[in-house]
Amino acid sequence: MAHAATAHHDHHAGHGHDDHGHHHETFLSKYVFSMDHKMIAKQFLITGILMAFIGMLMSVIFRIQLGWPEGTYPWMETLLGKWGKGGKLSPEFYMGLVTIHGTIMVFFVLTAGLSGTFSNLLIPLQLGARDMASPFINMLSYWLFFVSTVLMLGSVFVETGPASGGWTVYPPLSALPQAMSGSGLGMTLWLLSMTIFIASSLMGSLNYIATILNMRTVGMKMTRMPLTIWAFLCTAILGVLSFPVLLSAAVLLTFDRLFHTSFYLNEIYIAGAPLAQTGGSAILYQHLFWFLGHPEVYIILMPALGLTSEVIATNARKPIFGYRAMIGSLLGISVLSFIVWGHHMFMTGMNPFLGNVFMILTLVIAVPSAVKTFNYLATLWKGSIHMTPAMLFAIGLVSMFISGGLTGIWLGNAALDINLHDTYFVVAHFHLVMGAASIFGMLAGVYHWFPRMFGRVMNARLGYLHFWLTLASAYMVFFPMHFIGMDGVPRRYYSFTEFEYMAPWLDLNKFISISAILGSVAQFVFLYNFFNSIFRGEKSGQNPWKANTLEWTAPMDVRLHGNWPGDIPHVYRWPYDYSVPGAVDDFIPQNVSDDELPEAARSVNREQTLAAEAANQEKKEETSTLAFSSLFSKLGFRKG
Amino acid sequence: MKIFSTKSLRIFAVGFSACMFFVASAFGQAADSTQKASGNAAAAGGEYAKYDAKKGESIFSIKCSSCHYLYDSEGKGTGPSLHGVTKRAPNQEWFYKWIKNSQALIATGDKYANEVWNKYKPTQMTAFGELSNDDINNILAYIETTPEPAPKAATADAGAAGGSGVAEEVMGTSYYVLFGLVIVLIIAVILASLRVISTLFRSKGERLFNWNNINGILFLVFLIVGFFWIYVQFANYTRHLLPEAASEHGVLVDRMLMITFALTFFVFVVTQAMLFYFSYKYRQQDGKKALHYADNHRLEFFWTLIPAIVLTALVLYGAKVWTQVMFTDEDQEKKALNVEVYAYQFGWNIRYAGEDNSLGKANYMLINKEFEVEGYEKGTNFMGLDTKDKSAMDDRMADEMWLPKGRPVLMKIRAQDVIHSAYMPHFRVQMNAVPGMPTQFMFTPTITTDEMRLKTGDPKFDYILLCNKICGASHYNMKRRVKVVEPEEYDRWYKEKTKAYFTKIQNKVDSAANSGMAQLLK
Repeated sequence: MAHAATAHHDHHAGHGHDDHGHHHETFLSKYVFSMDHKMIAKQFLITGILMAFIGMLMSVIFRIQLGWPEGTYPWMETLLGKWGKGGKLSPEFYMGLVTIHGTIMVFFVLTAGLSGTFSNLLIPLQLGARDMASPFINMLSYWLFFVSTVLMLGSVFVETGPASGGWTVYPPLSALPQAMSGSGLGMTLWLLSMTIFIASSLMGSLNYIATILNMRTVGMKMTRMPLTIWAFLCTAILGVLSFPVLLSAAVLLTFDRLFHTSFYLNEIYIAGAPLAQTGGSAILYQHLFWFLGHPEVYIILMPALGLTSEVIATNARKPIFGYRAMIGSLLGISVLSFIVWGHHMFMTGMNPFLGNVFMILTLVIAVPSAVKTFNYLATLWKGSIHMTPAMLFAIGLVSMFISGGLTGIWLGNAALDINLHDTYFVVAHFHLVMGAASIFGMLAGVYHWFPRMFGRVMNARLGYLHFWLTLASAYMVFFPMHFIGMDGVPRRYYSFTEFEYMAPWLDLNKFISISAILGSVAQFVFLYNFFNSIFRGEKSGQNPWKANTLEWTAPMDVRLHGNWPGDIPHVYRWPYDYSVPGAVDDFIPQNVSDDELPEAARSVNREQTLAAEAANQEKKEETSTLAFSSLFSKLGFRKG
Repeated sequence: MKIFSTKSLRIFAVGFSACMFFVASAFGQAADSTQKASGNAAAAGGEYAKYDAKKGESIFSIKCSSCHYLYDSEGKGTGPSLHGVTKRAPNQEWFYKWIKNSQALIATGDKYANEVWNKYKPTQMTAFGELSNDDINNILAYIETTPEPAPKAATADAGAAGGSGVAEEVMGTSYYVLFGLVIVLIIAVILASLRVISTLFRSKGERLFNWNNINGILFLVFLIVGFFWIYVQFANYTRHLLPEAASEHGVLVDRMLMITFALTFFVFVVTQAMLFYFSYKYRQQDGKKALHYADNHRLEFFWTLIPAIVLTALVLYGAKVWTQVMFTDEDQEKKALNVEVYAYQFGWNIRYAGEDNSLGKANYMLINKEFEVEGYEKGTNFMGLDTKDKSAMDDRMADEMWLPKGRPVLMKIRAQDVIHSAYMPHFRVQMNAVPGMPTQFMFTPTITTDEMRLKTGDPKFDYILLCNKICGASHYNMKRRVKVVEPEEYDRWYKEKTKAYFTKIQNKVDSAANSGMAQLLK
């Protein structure tokens, strides 16, 4: 970057904050019912973090049951009351914990907490907009989300216990209070909470799409948007198209429960009497659920991949490799994600012909995922990697994405699913590819954009500690589960003591539980770091990571509503001009025009400069003996 | 001819239990509470001694043990633990009503039934309409006469043994807690001292740590340690995995699994190695600049095409296997042995198709209704079979699922209340049981239980049918034993051990046959 670009920043700073963004604000309008997208992002983030800790602590409780099925703990009774009588977690509440853990993590943490936080924070800032298309709907979106979290947490405390049919809440189990205690009031609250959640999510998504399509600054063509924005756009479109289907599933289930319709109920004899409701189909619910459920996986994952693309490019000081291929694979995944839901249902008794169809479509979706992985690897190759905590987590995401993604090839294959369906293999698969990977993406995002949110930087060394403990414990928890699953041990079992053939895994289960506890403890390092840094962290400079995107051109005064005090910056280039040959600095922000650059670094001369650089490089490489570089150049890296 | 009349037996039983009660109460005066309880148990058992506890045990293990334990101080069962239950309930009649349909009994306003319900609601007990009063008596006999199993070290002094068990558990827990604390402490000390040292260095204007280097190297270390750990896991755990597939199609599935494993594991190793090695190798170092390298269409093309080709191959192979396993035609189905598993909370009913090898129709409205067909004994229709369907009349039931080796089995799967899943991991068989939508799975067992015991070296090995779709509180304990035997042994077992679902009125048939024979002989 030229000195001219620095001047550009100064120019903005010179405007000061006096003339803009100071409407009269009360505490309520500023911190509670705020319509500033940055504040709403923080609200989503903090709610998401709190929910994540609740979900995590629930998992610790049931991991203790699974690791030490014979143990009794007096604190369990203190904590859980009648659900922990004699210091022992009851089977009913075990199911409840599993269900609420899943629901919280999937919807409240990784959908709202991740997408809600970063879409809100980054869409206006990276696109050069003053706020969302509708700040009011944005605020409503958060407060509906908040109401739904309160309802969901409240459902844990009702007398009959929370919803306990697994996070997928398949009827008839979830439809009939006779079937299990959790299908009483707890289930009604679950449905109510989810309905409100869906409304919140739809409002958010529509806002994101409207903002991205309409409110980009001058020069911000679609093909100049950062990959984060592309990911948020695809995510929002998926959400808008698939969440209504879940809403319909939930509404029909509510009808079956409260008004005795029978959309999902057929020929049931329960609690000593035949059920009057008949003629429905239990499988219908699963089709509706997974029509959301599968896109939901990508709703969770794609924002994490978007954040990672940005973090990796910035910290490797390299353009993201294959920008267009990355967009293409996002779009490919988005389209395909709508037509693969049947792979969750191979074993439901669905026509086996459909099994073949869904298997083919499912394995097709692995191709764009593979492309993304290779592009990340190529971005790291010959980079100059700055090991910020964000970067560590981004690399961790790629690792988790590979490990969990590959087992998707097993489970997407209907023939293999016969024996792996609903076993611990599935638990291992989705926790790695969707759980751990997305959490890593979210944490990468938090470390990276913390300065943008709070004007301070999080402590890096605590970040390193947090990362290494989290990475190790994530693998220690989920990798061994593959073995348990391949032995045919079902998931959602309260204990493994009732079957001979599961006995060899008792020790391994202890190991997994200890690792899970270790991983949970590590998260408290993050929690401390997060809140401590808000108040006492090192003050951040204007552009702490030397990134190209627009959010770092806005003043770091985070309270400023409207983002830029003067004019909104114009955009002259794509966001990945890192280490451009001929440039003075190793980054050129998007708002720097070619006129401000040295001759060689200008876009018009880019081809020539690169060719010259490549020729230079080739000469060096001929003498190089490094296996990887020669292998790569043989594969056509140099010839382009 | 009977040596003792039932009446004399009953008098003996009452007298005996009275004596026992006397002795027990005499002991009880001086003994502590646990001994008192076992004294009562003996007395209660006495009352039920006339019933067949052995039969009761076999029913208990199939119908009750998913939710109830006999003795259970930890309260881990879904329902109450049952020893001493005859002391708690008002009378024997009460058990008949409760077990056959607890909800109906609660609805009548029965005091004790409502007391129990209020304690456990809304968890309901499954209605076992199929159990006769005798069955229930047998179960109660088993419950009340079975002594509490001694603690693990039975030979040692009971109190001390129990104590040491508890102590071990406490030791175990506190060991882990201590371990965790020590780790936290060590980390804290290290962090604190590093902080001091780094401030010292910084005051001199130097950097103590190059965190970029440290993290880069840690990536390499993680890669090496991680791969070694994975190797250790394979070395330790593969022997615990399922033994070879015990069915024809299972072999195909396993082969597919091995190929998929080899491919994905290769990709796993290569890509993870690249990821962590690149992270180490290209960590930021002074004087090194990143390469501006944004695109390469040829490369993109390669790494789109290669996964696409590999996945196409896998899909085609997978589709072939899936088709082979799942697509069956009517001819094959008719020839196969027709067996039904009928899932309920929390167990499985097993029905064989009888001589016509055709399972009779069933209707959920008929479940637990009394049936009446001419020439058959009256009874409770607990699986809801349609008495108008002729092919239902020869259907037979069994407590265990026995299958002949080498013969195709068509397993029909139904569910009574919620979705269950019939999962038999050793055969690579799984299919959901959906209320209102019958499903099926056809497979051919190829290895008998005995052969598998030899192969695995585990003399207690048994095939198992278990539930693999969340179905309620006792989901984790919903199982049935499956046994594969040689065809001859199967035939023998089938004749002896399966019970007719609708019992023909034997006397009439027998006497008719006898008279016919008698006339012929004359």
